[in-house]
Amino acid sequence: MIAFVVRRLLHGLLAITVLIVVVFFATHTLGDPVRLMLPIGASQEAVEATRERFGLNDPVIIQFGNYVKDIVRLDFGVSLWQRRPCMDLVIERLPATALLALVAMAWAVLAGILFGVLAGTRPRSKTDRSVSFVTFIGASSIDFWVALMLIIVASVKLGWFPTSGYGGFKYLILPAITLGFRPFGRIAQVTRPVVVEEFNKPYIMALRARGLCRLRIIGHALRNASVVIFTLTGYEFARLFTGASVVVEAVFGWPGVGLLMIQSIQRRDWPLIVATTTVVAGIVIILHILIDLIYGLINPRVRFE
Amino acid sequence: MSDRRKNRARLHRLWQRLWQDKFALLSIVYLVFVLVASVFAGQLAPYDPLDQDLANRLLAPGTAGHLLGTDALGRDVLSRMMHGARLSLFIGFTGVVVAMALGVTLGTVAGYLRGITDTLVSRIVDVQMAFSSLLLIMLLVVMIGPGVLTLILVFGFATWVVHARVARAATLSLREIEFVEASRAIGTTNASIMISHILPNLASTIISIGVLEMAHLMVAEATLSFLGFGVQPPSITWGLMIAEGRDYIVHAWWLVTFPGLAIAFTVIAVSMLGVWLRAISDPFQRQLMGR
Repeated sequence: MIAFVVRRLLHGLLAITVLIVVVFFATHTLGDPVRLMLPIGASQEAVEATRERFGLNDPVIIQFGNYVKDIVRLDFGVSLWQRRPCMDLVIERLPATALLALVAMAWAVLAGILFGVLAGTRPRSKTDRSVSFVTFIGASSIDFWVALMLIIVASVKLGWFPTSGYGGFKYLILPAITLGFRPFGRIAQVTRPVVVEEFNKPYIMALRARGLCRLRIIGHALRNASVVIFTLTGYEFARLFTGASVVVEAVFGWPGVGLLMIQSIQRRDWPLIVATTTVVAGIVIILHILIDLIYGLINPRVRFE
Repeated sequence: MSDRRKNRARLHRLWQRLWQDKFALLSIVYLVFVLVASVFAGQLAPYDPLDQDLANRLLAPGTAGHLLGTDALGRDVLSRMMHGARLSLFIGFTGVVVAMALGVTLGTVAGYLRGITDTLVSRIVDVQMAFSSLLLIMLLVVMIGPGVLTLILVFGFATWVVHARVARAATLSLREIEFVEASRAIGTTNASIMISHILPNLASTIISIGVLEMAHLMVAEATLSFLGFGVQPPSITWGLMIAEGRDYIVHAWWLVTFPGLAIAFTVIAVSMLGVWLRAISDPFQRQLMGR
């Protein structure tokens, strides 16, 4: 058990190391941050001054050393745009993203399992086919377009919800629906074959023979299937933090970390770009580690590979 | 049986199977339609996509010869969509080609040679899988600067791992077949074996995965263009059209809806095609369908 935990943590550490290296490489060497930060017609002195200010004239090794030293203390410098420490900004925005992700995930899991069970308990029936179709659409849905469609229908035409912003409950609904579409589709897609497989097992027949009502039988089957569903849910949740939340937050003006990333890119705020990318990717890695560890807890076979 | 007759028989079986799956058939028909519309956009489009007509801004769909309406600069939406299809499809397709070139090569080599090559490649794949691809793509595009070539290269670099994993898994089982053993016995080089024995058998699997990935990349391109980090105006892609139409969403819903529908349908069609391809190349499934 300990070996498993240690191995997983080491793997995570490797991932974080690579993350730091890749972000450094991308932001210091691959592109030119000075070109990014300054307008096109900037004078040579301005360019030189900026390079000095961010220590970009130092040898790469020195730059990397400073970069790592700062990252370890979670010091990403000061945002050019808001003139506050980047880390503070990120921490400020995290709760909003987390709230959105949690609510989206909640409905996605409930609806996904429901639909998956509906389809799985009636394989190859009309219900199964229509549910599979709907979940297929969901799993391949395009976040920002669904968002815009919802805005058009629910906000502009029907006036039920505000188009964007952050405030009370009604601001949360449209973004949460949009964000949850893909996880809903994926969870339903995975639940269905798992349920089908479970229902083929002999114990189900035994339970039915003893007269257990259908709902309870489904309950039993789900318990056995829950591990797979749980892992997928975990990965989808981690995924929500990155790509999905960025787009949805951008469309709905939801003040989370994703929107912060977009804003930092639009304002060419290099320290903030580095900060948001690193933190978000780091969170995803940590979430993956947690999921794997919990999975190892539930499924003993994984521990002894 | 002569080779030609065998090939014709295979095609016939393929067609039969396509006919059985109405969704896949529909998808292919739709995709052919989109392909033709994009390739022949220059001839088929009713208007020049860049032609601004400020007197006729924001016309609703169905008015005066503009089937899908006009945008804020009076440009015909239908023509722009037909031209936009080109870049949207092109970027998705070449992105997958690059990713497959990189991924299948590394995956096959790792799976065949095993040993330290395999460990190295697997580690890299594992670590890269821990990152969300969209994040990586965004970071790279922002730093390098937007543009079609950058987009394609970044897509390839960010998504090669999927293909590598699939290729490696398939190679691991394929390397045990008799042909490989026999070839090794007569002293054929590794490269030769990989090319003539392993790759052809991998083909159907990696093609089906490639098709599915193309759907993902099209969505990624649309997302990036929508956010402003992808293709830049005056080039046209569907994602860019949605971005441009977003400001007028309240009064001109068609600017956002039609390009979005195009992307949605195309992605769904490509996905269905990919699912169908995977179903027919899986030997178990083939058995079920009665070869």
